[in-house]
Amino acid sequence: MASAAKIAMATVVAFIVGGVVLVTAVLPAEYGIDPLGTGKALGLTELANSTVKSAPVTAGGDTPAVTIVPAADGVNEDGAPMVKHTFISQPSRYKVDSRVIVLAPGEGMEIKYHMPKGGGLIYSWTATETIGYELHGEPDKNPPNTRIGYYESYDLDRKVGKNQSHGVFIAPSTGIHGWFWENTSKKEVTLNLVSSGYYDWIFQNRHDMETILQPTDPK
Amino acid sequence: MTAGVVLVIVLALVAPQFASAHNVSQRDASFVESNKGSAIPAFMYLGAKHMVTGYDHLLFLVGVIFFLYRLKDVIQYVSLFTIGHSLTLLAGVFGNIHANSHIVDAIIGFSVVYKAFDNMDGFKRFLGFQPNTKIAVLIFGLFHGFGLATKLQEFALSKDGLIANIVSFNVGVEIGQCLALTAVLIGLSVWRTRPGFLHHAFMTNTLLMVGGVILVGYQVTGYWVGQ
Repeated sequence: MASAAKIAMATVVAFIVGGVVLVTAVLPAEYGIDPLGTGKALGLTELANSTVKSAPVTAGGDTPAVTIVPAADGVNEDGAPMVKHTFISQPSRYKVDSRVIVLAPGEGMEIKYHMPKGGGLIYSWTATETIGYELHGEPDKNPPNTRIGYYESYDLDRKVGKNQSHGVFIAPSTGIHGWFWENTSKKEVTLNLVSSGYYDWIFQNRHDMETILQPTDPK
Repeated sequence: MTAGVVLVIVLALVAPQFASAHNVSQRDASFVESNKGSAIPAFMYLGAKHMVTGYDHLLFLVGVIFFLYRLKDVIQYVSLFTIGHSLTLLAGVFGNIHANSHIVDAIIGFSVVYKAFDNMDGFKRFLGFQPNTKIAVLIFGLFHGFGLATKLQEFALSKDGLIANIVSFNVGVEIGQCLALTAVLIGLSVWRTRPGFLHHAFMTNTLLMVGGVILVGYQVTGYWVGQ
């Protein structure tokens, strides 16, 4: 059996070494917390920053209230002002999807696009009657301490409804994002949806069936 | 030669690029989410993968079996660990108990520190007695199970086939544990036949403790910054 001094020494050393690795490498790489500047020196903070930061774009319901912060940051080599945070670069080509859906009176359904955090979607949908809808999303990974079936709502209009909606959407999380529509009218409604964006597959929930659809991409 | 073996084991334990504690990858997540109904082999695979690549569970198991020479003892201790984590994995998911994953993972990290200190004879030396090692393994097994449960709960699991899928995940965890344990046991057995094992054993347990300290710090910080 090792002596008390040896065990105490080993424990102290373990805590010091562990603490040093934690502060100089793990925290900078995982959380971007870099008290000693070692993460920056070793290029580890890049890892923490590699997740897409939410763009400084605020969009609101009916009014086209879009604010793009013109954060001019110096000039480029030709002397033009550099305006930052105007785009989110994406790793691959965007997809295109277009579909026509006929909803019986009272029928509800969902179409959601699976997108990475920061992925953009440009969409238009038009309906032959006013219908209720909710633009919402479900992250792939639920936030801690949330229940099964967790979702986030972005725009809800189920009472009055609309017969068209157009917009630019930026996914706040990696997951499926899209609409629930409900034909609140007394007539059959034809819904025309067209979108392009950085999604890989499409989730449909209709007639109590959840199915994965592929984009109708023309290539 | 001995130093080489130590190096390989230590590298395998501390190199995070080879293993990821607790991250079921995004692709797997999409699968789990889009999966409806029971998918027994798929969930078994996910459970096994989680165990084989989850270095926090592995570090603890290395600590537990470090000084177990007889297969009978290994089976006894590992069974206690299995009973512990299966209980809380099933109870957690079925009972919809949502433990904070950072706190649970910090306790798992602490279990590594505890076991390393125990292996150094720290308790015998400083407390004058040996705390029951079997009870400790069972209790820490309970916490490891909560860790497994919180991972499964991060997905919106379909209610369809829920029981079959959770049980499959649990069975997969045990398969993965067997695979990982076999590899660790082979490594340890070879190492024990070398001279100087006991000397290096003390050093290795110190390194094990370093790993535990890093895990605790990582999770506690994660809890504070809320990520």
